[in-house]
Amino acid sequence: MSLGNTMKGQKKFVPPAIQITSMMDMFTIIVFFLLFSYSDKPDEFDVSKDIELPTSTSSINYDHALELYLSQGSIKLEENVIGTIDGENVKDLDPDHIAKSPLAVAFTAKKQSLEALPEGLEVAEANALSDVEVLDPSDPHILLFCDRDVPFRVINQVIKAAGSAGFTNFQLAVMEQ
Amino acid sequence: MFSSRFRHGDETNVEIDMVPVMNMFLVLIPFLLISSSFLNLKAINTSIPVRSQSSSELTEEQSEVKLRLMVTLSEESIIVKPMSDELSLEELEKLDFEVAVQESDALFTNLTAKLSLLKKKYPNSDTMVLSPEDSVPYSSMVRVMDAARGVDPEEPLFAKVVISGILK
Repeated sequence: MSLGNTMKGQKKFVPPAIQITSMMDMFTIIVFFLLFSYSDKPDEFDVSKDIELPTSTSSINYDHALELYLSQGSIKLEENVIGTIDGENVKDLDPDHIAKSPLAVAFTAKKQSLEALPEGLEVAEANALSDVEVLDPSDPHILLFCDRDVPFRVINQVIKAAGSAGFTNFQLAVMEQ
Repeated sequence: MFSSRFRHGDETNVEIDMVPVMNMFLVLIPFLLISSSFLNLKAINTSIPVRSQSSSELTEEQSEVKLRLMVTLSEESIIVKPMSDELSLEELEKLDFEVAVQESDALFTNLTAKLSLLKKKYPNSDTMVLSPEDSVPYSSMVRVMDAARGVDPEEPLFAKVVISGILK
């Protein structure tokens, strides 16, 4: 028996017509939404839920800098917790001897690690070799993520400790209004 | 008749092939998802006081009248005291002003209006030294900085902000 005879009795296969118009509509909406939220600087910060940034009319874009997270309870430099906040004071920080506090020591250690570029290697070259972006030690500045309700007393102690380590320029991270 | 001519014409059901468009969307969506920013983050540039050259070392070009605003921020009021090496104490005292803090935006409209008058009179001025009291929250500091920058981002009023504690 030939194959042709076997197939003769069967109906011709008709592919099921999937209704994709509604899916197209949905995709079009998603694509437009994503196009409008496109950014050449995609989210690269992990701001914890206990930090609520204030809104601002500023239109300045942030630079790549050392990230400092200041919440109601803790102080984080990049990934590491470098201090805790007890009420309206930074714990273990003597306001009269800020430069010797553990907080200032942590900032100084970070500054030294930034300056420890291999000899003769420029920042751009180091960036090309490294997966993690290398900060420019000639212009050290801090990008401060601070909760909107943190009192100035705490901020002042933290920026003074950073200043004693040589970080005198700050960028305050805010949400666009 | 025109209508009857078409009534009996061949009715071909043309279906647009949407599959390539869907494929394109499936490639586009993950790409856009990766490069999307859902956190509209901006920054305000500030610094802390550092030792600088003395006024006698300033060059001729820098000798035009330039005000530095000393802004003391408390929970009740904002006190603005301009400072300058080129103006006398009497002249500077006339420029002092105080704004009472309210919850509404009127305070900041008022502050911006007064600061723009100062800027108009002394256009080279661009620095504000912000000294909040210990209990002032960070959000209030940001609001004052916004007010001091003004409404026009192309021509900010006092864009350079130095944060300092109150000198006792």
